[in-house]
Amino acid sequence: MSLTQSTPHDLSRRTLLGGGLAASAALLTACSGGSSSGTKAGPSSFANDADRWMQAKGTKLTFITENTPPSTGIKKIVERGDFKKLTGIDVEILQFDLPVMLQKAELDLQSGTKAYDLIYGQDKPVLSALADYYLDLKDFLSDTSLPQAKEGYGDDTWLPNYAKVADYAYTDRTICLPYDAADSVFCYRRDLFEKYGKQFADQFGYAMKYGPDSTYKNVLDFAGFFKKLHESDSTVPYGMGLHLGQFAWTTQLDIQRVLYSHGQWRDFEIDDIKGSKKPGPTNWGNEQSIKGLELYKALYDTSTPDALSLGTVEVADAYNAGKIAMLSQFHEFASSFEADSSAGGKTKTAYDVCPKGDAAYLVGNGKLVNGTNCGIGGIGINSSITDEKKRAAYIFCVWSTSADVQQENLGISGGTPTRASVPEAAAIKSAQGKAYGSGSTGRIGPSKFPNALTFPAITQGMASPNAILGPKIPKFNQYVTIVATEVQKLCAGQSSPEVCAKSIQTQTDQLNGV
Amino acid sequence: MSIAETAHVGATAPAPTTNKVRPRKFLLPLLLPAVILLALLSIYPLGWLIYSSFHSVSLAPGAPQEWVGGDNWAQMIKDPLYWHSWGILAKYSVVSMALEVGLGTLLAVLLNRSRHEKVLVTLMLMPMMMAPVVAGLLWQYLYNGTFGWYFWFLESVGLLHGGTILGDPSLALWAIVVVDVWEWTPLVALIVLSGLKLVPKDQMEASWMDGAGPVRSFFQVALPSIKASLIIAVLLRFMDNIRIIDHFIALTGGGPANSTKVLPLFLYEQSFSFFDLGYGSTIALTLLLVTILLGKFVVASFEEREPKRLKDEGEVL
Repeated sequence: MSLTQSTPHDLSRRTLLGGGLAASAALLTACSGGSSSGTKAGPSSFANDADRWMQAKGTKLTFITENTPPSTGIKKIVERGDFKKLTGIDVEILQFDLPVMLQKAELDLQSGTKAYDLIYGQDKPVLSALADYYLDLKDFLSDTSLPQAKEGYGDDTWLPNYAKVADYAYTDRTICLPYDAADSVFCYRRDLFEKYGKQFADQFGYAMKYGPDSTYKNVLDFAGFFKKLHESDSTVPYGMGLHLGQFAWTTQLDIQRVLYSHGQWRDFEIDDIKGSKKPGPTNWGNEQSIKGLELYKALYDTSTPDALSLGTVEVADAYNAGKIAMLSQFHEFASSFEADSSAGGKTKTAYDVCPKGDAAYLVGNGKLVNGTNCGIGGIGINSSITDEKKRAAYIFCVWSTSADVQQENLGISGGTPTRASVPEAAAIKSAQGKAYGSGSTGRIGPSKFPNALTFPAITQGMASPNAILGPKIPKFNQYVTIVATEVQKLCAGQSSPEVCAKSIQTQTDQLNGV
Repeated sequence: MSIAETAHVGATAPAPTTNKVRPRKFLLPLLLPAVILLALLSIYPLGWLIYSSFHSVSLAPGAPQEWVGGDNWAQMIKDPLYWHSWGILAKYSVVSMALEVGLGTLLAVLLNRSRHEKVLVTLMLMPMMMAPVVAGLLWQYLYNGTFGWYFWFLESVGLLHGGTILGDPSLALWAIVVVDVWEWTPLVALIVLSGLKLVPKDQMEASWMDGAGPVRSFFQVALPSIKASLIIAVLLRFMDNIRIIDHFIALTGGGPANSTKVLPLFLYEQSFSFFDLGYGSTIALTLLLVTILLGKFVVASFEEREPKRLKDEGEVL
């Protein structure tokens, strides 16, 4: 019966009572729903799931994010109209380089301007500084009046350790959902390994093969071998690519991988997942850090002459141009390495887990692991926006981190899914290429979804004991600048491993008020 | 006397009168609006900068700023990177300005004699029209060790033996000097060229007739005449150069190993990357102070050489 046909006389007592009960329930829910996270209960019943998605129709949101390939893919899907069709919500996605994104977000959040409703939460650079400004999503996660992910939100619904890294900073508040990821994997020119394998074996006495048990000493041998070949034949690439350019964070990650592989060395003795606002003294300056720097410098000596000017993007360009034979790189770059125009394209690149530590560089009896680190980006909500916008923003968080959207994103922009079910989907599993190398984690193309070639590696790399997830500390950005600068000085020949390690120690302890 | 009175034959010219000093009573009311605007735009931010240098600054609205006294100043004085940044800036500024003034003057002299002056000036000004950060990005690509044209050229002619430009701490700063000189020499040339137009031709011709060559004529006749233009060019470039940041952000970010971390970049990093606004304000104040002092020195150098008679003449509005 339509509303135009009914009259007050037609309303039965049952209808009146039912409406009164519903109104009372709504009123009670509204009164009790005011938690500090700001969730306000919306309508408690929906005709169907579509209505649940549409409850914030007409809302306009602004999402500030880093200009990563997954964000670009999400933006394309949003611009296509998929999200608006589902929810009636308009989302403007602003993409910037990470330092610029951080500055804008920090200015907005600290000044209370509320220009941004959704904020990308890169686990360390952004959350370390801005965690307190993000909304606690816990109430929303259990709010049945909001649309929720089919898979749920348990740790096992995300790739290993992703939720731990993205969701928390300093407290138990769940401030983000894992949105995208950049995990380190080892990429190498398998065609060159095959071409020069015999020559290498004759010289070094073991096969030129890479796998999960390959150590940094092996990598140093491979890289040194290529560097020496380059001296007599400039068409042969240099050895190892490193991240030493302008982006201080990736330099810190580059050296952290090497150090963690040896005895699971950590920057600070703090909780790896939550971090700490008072990190205490750093482990820089101890014997292991000095030994690790010796190894890193040795790797640098096999690299291109302009290695000090090559950041993450530039070293990928160098690899694509055929200037270097191998590097640890973030798995989102697989798409560019597989391009036909890349020197490593057309299946010439193999992907595997990062190298293992080597006993020759270990101090003490710690574990030798395949040190793998990451930048897991979460998506979070500005805690000072209106309650209505918070609900709308949450709907976007759920949608953008759903397995379906992430799977589609893989095909659009070379996305980096965070949901554990995505790599297991039939289409994605079949895109994980052919097994290669001396273990079970290596893969080569071709692949319809090139980033999928790295999934076996990251599944192992990001799991314990290989993953190093921290450190989250309030002055994280200053800390990585110190590390990057001192490591650059070491590589430029301006200091020694010991002086470098001690200098980082002094400056870091001073920074943290130790 | 009117024109009618003086027009007829036999009329004598009236006695010359001295210039009267006009009343100054309208000076203040007429200048006040501009002064107030200037005060709002300059003095208030300056006051805030000084205030911030003694506080730990929070951006949160209504949040109290924490008084820290001289902590920011003490931190700055003890910070080796602060002094290092000054050293890099001094090297950069002196070399780039010397090159710009020298090359700019030479360019102006050549253009002044050229038949195609207008076309050449238009072409010459093109680098200047580019935003500095765009120029920086352009040169970053040119210097790039993987695909940069200039890198390839320098390597091909054997000047870079398996070397690098931006990746070498001993070369990176000079590579950025090249960019600055490329972009701003045209400005110096333009200013000097305008000065050269005012050089008395008869003096130049007299010097040639006396047997002086072009170089001697330039130094003895033209250069004293264009000194004012040169001072303006130096002052303008100095004011810009001491605050330079764009090229450094685009090309090196201050690396490798802090070899290109000039003071303005260090200031930017402290203020907007690390959001230590109190410390950043302290650094900014010292930069401002040095800029004012050096600027005054440049202007004073010019004023000292003015003939005394100019100072003795009354001011005329």
